[in-house]
Amino acid sequence: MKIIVVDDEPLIAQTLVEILRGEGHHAISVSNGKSALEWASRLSPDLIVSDIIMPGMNGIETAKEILKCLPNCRIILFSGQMSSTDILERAQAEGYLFELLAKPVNPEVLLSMIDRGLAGPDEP
Amino acid sequence: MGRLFTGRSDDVEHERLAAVIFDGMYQFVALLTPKGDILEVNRAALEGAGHRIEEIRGKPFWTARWWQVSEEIQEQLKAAIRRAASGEFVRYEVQVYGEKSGLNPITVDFSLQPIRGESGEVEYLLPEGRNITERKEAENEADRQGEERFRAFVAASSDVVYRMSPDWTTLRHLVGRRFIADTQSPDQSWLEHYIHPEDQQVVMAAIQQAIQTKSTFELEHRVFRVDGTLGWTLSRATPMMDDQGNIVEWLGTASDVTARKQAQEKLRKSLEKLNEQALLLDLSNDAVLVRDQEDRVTYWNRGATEIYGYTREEAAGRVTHELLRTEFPEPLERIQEKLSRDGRWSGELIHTRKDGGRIIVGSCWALERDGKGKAARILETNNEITQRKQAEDALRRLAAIVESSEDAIVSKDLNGIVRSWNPQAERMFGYTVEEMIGQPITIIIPPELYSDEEMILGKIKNGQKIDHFETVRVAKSGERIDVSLSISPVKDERGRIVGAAKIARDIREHRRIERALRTTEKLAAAGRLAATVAHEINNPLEAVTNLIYLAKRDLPDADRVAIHLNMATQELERVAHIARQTLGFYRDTTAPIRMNLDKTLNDLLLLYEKRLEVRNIRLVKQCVPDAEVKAFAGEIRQAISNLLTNSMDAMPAGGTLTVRIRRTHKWNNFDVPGVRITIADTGTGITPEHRRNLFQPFFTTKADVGTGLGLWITRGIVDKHGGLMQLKSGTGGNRHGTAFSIFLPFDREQAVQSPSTQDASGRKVSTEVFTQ
Repeated sequence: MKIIVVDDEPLIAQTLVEILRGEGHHAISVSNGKSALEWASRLSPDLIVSDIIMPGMNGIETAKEILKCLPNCRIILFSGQMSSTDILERAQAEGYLFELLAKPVNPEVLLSMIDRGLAGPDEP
Repeated sequence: MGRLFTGRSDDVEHERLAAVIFDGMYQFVALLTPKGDILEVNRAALEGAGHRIEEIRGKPFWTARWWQVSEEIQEQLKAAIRRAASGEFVRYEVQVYGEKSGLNPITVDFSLQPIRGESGEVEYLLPEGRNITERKEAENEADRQGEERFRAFVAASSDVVYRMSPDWTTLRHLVGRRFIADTQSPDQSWLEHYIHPEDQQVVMAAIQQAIQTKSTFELEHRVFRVDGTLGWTLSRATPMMDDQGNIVEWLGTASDVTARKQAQEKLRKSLEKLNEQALLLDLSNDAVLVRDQEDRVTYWNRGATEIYGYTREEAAGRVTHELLRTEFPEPLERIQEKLSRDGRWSGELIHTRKDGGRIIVGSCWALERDGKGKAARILETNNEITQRKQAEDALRRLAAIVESSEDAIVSKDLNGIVRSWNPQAERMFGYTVEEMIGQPITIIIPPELYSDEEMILGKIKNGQKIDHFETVRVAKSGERIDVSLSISPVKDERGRIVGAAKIARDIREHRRIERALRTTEKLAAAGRLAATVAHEINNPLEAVTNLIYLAKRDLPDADRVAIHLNMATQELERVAHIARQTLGFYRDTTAPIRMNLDKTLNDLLLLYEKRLEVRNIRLVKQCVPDAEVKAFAGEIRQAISNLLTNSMDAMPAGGTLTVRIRRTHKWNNFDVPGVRITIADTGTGITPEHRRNLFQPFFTTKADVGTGLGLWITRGIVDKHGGLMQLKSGTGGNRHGTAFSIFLPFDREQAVQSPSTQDASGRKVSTEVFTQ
């Protein structure tokens, strides 16, 4: 599975990529929404795993843009702040359904979620 | 006696005896027929005239020698006989020859008595004469003396002079001085000749009174003057007495008072007219008064009584300026100058009422001149400008408002003595009016706040107002009441400050709401902090979780595991540091402590480091390292944190955050040293209409994340520490942005003792715009 990890914290992005690669996925990391869009258009990933709170374009805006070109791309968002749920709800009101995970995300939960295919929001 | 001479009596002895008596009588006696023929004459009479009875019996009485003094006397006798024959008793004084020795006539008191017969007809006439010559001479002597006295009097006086008989029946002499007619010889009809018929009765009454009391006669009455017109005289007469105290005559003077009386009459008439006008003037609400040239009140209307409280009787004759303690707007001399030049003056005067109250009146003076153009009197009308009545109405209305006010309304004088105390003050503080009036206001001030009162009185004396001064007062029960005081100076009509009016509002409820709000904001702040903390902690935790997963996965590769775990340790240290700072954030102290502001700022910046970085905000820090204040550390941290987050929120697209700490002095009181913290952003700035509401609770421009309480809380904290806040903001050009400054005194105790001046809205905030 082609996966792009988006997080402004390099350590998180890098460790996640390493975990995903260990499970046999093709994963790369980017640190902001803009480069996520760039790489998505080149790679046509199956899955985007993105932080929500980021400088510049936030995770949801990034996700919406990617869906415009890749409507079938799966999006999993994760956030360390509960206020993100407000932003997510607004997106839902606009018709977007994103899967959400709360930081810190247990890597095993993330992996099983990816394996299960489409799944509802999971609470750790 | 008739019978004695009829000769018809049988009693001869009786007749003889009667004849003896008849002849022996000393006075002259005779018997006549009704026609006047002589029947008998006694010896005394015969001897006086040198007659013998035979010579004259049967002849008419008037032909006898006695009566030959003059023909007039004989004619007078004939007339008397005619009257007596018709039954009349006649008596008069007359001069007759009665002394055989000389040719001098004697004066006799002569009478003729008719004697009637049984039929009732007059049958005889009985003449009788008594020699009164000596008495007459004495009288004449007295008269002569009186005449002399009179002449002296005439010479000495320019008035009318007169002599009256003792019983006032005869006017003996009068020198009329061309005022009234002269009388040279005795006049018994003087009353008709001289006195106006309407006055005769009062004149007679006054004469009777004077005769009875033997005292001076004095009366003003009307007289007929020489030319026949009526005049007025003041007549005075003194009784002249002999040695026995009998009145021998009256000596009088009469002065011509016609002119005076006419003037008085004219005055009376004009007074009557004036009285009529006075009645009209009494209808006026203005004070109308008339004063003479010496400023003495001659007229005082009812309006004057109502305005000044003095009755007409009390005011009459008083000098107005003394009575009313007039205070003039310009020197009285200048007023009088103008009055005599223009005939009128108007202006404002201050008068003092009988009850001591001072009133301002609009006064209008008019000078009235007499016929010769000389100033005669001044008419003054005064209308009360202070509009006492209206003022009283207004006062009543005000009193009703004060009575029913939900606020305690109290007035006190400049010594802090309570002068009024409304019902709400009674309810709020538990003291009744009776308990408080005249007492010092300090009764309701907690002892530790006595200095408040000095500060308040000081400001009041300078004419300053105090608005919404929040403090504490003590009720009678000892309960402490949070109050908001508004105090204004009370001025008298001259603008002098005489006391203070104080409105106290019970703000305990208000305080409770405020406290609730603060708690809410604390919770909100905690929430915001939690969000920040969550982000700052969850990120490293995410990294640690991932690293541990990788360490487990790579377990056989000890080197890799070591790398993962080292990284995890570093991340956990970051978590620990943030947790420590966050806990410090909420460890609030109950007492102020010395705190280093630079360190506080650094801790906060550490917390927001990530956010600054993420938002591309450049930090410029210019801080003295050792700035310390004594304060509630948690609160100061919150205040600074609020300003920092505001600044960061103001720059969503990046900018420069400048943080500065300087040692300085309070900018409105150089005696208070302290620290100034400035936090400036280069954001869009605050528009003037927002600036006005900035410190109101629930005002926010950040609908998503703001509670609208941040700046309100911050201001509260700064106030509490005796500090000040200043705001500069610009919204245009290159220099847009906002700078908040907080001044904190080194020691808040010291600062609170010298309270800051508050701005019009009562907030310790000043704003300044550096660019528009």
